[in-house]
Formats: sequence, structure tokens, C-alpha cells
Amino acid sequence: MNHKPTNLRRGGTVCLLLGSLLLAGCLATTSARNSTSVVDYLYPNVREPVVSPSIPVLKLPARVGIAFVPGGDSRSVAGRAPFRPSQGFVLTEAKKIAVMQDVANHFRKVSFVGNIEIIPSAYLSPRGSFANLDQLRTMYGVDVIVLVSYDQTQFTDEGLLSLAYWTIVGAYIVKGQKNDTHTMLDAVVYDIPSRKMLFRAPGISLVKGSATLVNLSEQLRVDSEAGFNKATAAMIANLDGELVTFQEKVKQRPEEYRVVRTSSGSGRGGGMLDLVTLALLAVLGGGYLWLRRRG
Amino acid sequence: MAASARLSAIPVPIWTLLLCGVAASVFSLPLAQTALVYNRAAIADGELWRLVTGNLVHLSTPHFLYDVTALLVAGALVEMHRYRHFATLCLVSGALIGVTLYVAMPEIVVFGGLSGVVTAAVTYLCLHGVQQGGAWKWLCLLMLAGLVTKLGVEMAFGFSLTLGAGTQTFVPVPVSHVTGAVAALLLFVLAGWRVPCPNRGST
Repeated sequence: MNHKPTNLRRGGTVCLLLGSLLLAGCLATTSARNSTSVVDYLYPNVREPVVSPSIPVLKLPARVGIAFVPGGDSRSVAGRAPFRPSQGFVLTEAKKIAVMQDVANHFRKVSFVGNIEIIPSAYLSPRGSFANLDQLRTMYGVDVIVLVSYDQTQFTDEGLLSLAYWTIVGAYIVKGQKNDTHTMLDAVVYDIPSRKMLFRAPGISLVKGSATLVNLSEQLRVDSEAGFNKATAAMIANLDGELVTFQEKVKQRPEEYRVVRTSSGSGRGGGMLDLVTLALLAVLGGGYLWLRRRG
Repeated sequence: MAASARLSAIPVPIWTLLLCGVAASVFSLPLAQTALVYNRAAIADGELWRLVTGNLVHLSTPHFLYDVTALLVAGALVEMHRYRHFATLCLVSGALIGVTLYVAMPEIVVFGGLSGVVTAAVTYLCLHGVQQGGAWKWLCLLMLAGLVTKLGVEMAFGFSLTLGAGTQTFVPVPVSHVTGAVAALLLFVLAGWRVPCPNRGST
């Protein structure tokens, strides 16, 4: 009996498997990625979103909400190796709120914007789609929402991968270099009732890698934070321009955007207690306890 | 022995604890907040429950803490005095606040907060208190005078010593406080303020 071909085949299969595992292992540790996606949030389970927005009726002064798209897990991109989760800088809720405050300050400069609400992450559900935006509209009384997403990749090997930023309008492809940190922040502005995207402002940054093997993880974390900061600044600079362009567009294309002027209202009101009532309550409570003690 | 007997005679403020518990649950569940908050457009679309349930929603952590702490004190005092109809008071004042805002303040799109109900509870407590004897009567009378003055100043000058003023993302709505006080007065009169309470004359 000649077992040679079978053994060879087995050996070849084992080699192939080992090779595949090795290659997958190498590729899997090539890049760290931390991202959220407006596409995944607004159009979950839809391969090619078909959007049929109606004509937006912009009520001015506009009530605007700003929120970070939920998510932030590592993801794999179709046809490419999986990315390992980022070990770098974590975009905390406090940092997100600081970014949103920056964005809000730029919206406040615009005459057609009334109230601006910063919406905490707890109110956004992953893959929540427009149903979730409708909930935000009810809770915060906003008609326009600025959805901020981010995508950061750190390459730790030489030029093995290129990177695709998936945005609401398509993909950006960038080439990766060793220890580079690529970051994109993207602000997409939607009119909630009509589901129409009004405009978007991306901000991209590249922090060139200078880490050595000794300080690699620490340097990557520093680069990660620097990348976010630079991309935020770039996004806000773009936002200013896009706001001006959008204002002009609304004036020039009345068939695409209807504008309704409403009385300027405070929008969001809260029944909140004042110091006088609390002091009165404290006196009443104290008096009650004192009188009870006296019998 | 006498002290423990006296303590066991104090009723547990069930409605107050229940209301605070519900407010806490709603505050911790964003989905519940969106379903219950006062939203003018949603009410116009027929979601009328929001007129009442909006009072249970709070728009920030300090907002929630101040309102619920105050309700704990005011509600507990009402229930421990065995002043009747506290649950009705909460329901009526909540509904009246919602309706008043809807009719009189179209500029308020979203509203939340229990402070109107707290004001109703304090007013109700003091109105009952002035019917009793002793020091409690005078204390309640003094508090009632202070409350009326405060509400008058708030409405006349739009001035309110709101805690955390300037840091909140919403405007205070003094109308909700006045409406709460009016609801308490109405219930006090309609429910028959001459009917004696079980512990009238004592504190």
C-alpha cells in the first residue's frame, strides 16, 4: 500500500492550515481599530440603504441636538483581516461631552439656530436607527440632530493594510504606515422628521508614529488622544464652512428646503425647586421633629 | 417603651415612597423618560398621559435629586400627619400642571419635574396645619405666608433662586409651582376641609 500521496496531502493540509493561522495571527495584530458608524446606527441590517427623504421643513430658530453615535467596538471590514480592539486612549463620556460642547459653541454662532441640546450616550441605542432619533426628538424637543461618529486606526506593522473609513457618503481609503494613527471624526446633520441629511463635516488627522518597542503601548495611547484632538479641531473648522454653505443653499434652493419661522421659545422647561422652597421645607421638617420630641 | 410605641404609631408614607421610587426608576431608564415626558407635539398627537407623567421625568441629575428629596420631606410630613387625599393631590396637581402648561405656555416644548407637585404637597400640608392647634399651627401659617410671597415674587418678577441656575439645560417654569399651589387649595376646599382629621389638635 502506498500511503505517500495521502500523507503528503495531509501534510500539505496541515501546512496550509498552519500557514493560514499564522497569516491570520499576523494580520489580526496588524492594526487596532476603534470606531462607531452612522451607517450602522441609522441603517442596521441594510446592505445598501435606500433613502427616500421628504422635503425638510426647517422650523427656525432650529432646535438642535448633538450626540455621539453609540458603539465603539472593534470591527472587521469585509474582505480584510479583523482588527484587534484598541488598547489606546478611550473616548470617555466626559471627553465626548467636551467635543459636543465645542460643536455646540460653533452652532450657537449661527443665526438660525435656537436651542442646542447635548445628548448623553445613555439615550442612544446601538443600531437604533430613526426610531431612536424620534425618541430623542420627543425627549429633547429637537428637530435637527448632529450625529458625531469616529474611526481611529493604529497600524503597528509596516504597510500591510490600507484603511477604509466608511462614512455616510462612501469610503475614504488611506495607506497605513508603521505606528501611524489615523483618525476621522464625522459630524452628520439630519433633519429628523424628514430623515434628510442636511450636511456633513468630517475631520481627519494623521499622527506619525515615533514609538519604539520599549514605549510602544504608551506612545500609541498618547498618539491616539492626539489624533482625536486633531481630528476634532479639523472637524470643527470644516463645520464652520459647511454651516455657511448650508445657509446659502437654503436661501438658493427653496424647492429643496422649506423654512418656517416660529416664535422663539425657551423649548425645554423644568419644574425645579428653588432655595426658598427648600428652606421652608427644612424649617417645616425641623419644626415637626422638634414638636414631636417635646411630646 | 413609650418612645417605641410613639414611633410605631407613625404611619409609613407609602404614597410618597411609591412616587419617589417611580421617579427614580423613570430617571434611570431613558426609554421610560422618552415615553413619559411632557412633549407638546406628542400630546397634540393624542398622547395625553404625558400631561400627568411629565412630572415624573427629570432632565438632569441635580434636578432629580432636589425634587425627589423635597418630595420625600413634604410627602412624608403630609402622610405622617394622616392628612387625607395625598395620592389624589399628586394626581390632580400633576394633571393640572400639564394642562396649564399646554394651554398657557405654548413655547414650552418639553417639560419635566416634580417641583409643582412638591409645591402642592407643601401648600396642602400648611393648609391643614393652620387648622390644628399649638405651635404647629403658627409654624404652618408662617410657612404659608412665605410660600405665597415666594410664588408672588416668582410670577411678578420672573425671579427664582433656582439651585444650579445657569448650569441647567432648561429654563425654570414657576407657573408649575403656582399651579401646584392652586391644585392643593382646590382639593383642600373641595375635599371638605371641615372634616376632622384623626389626629387633629396634635402634631
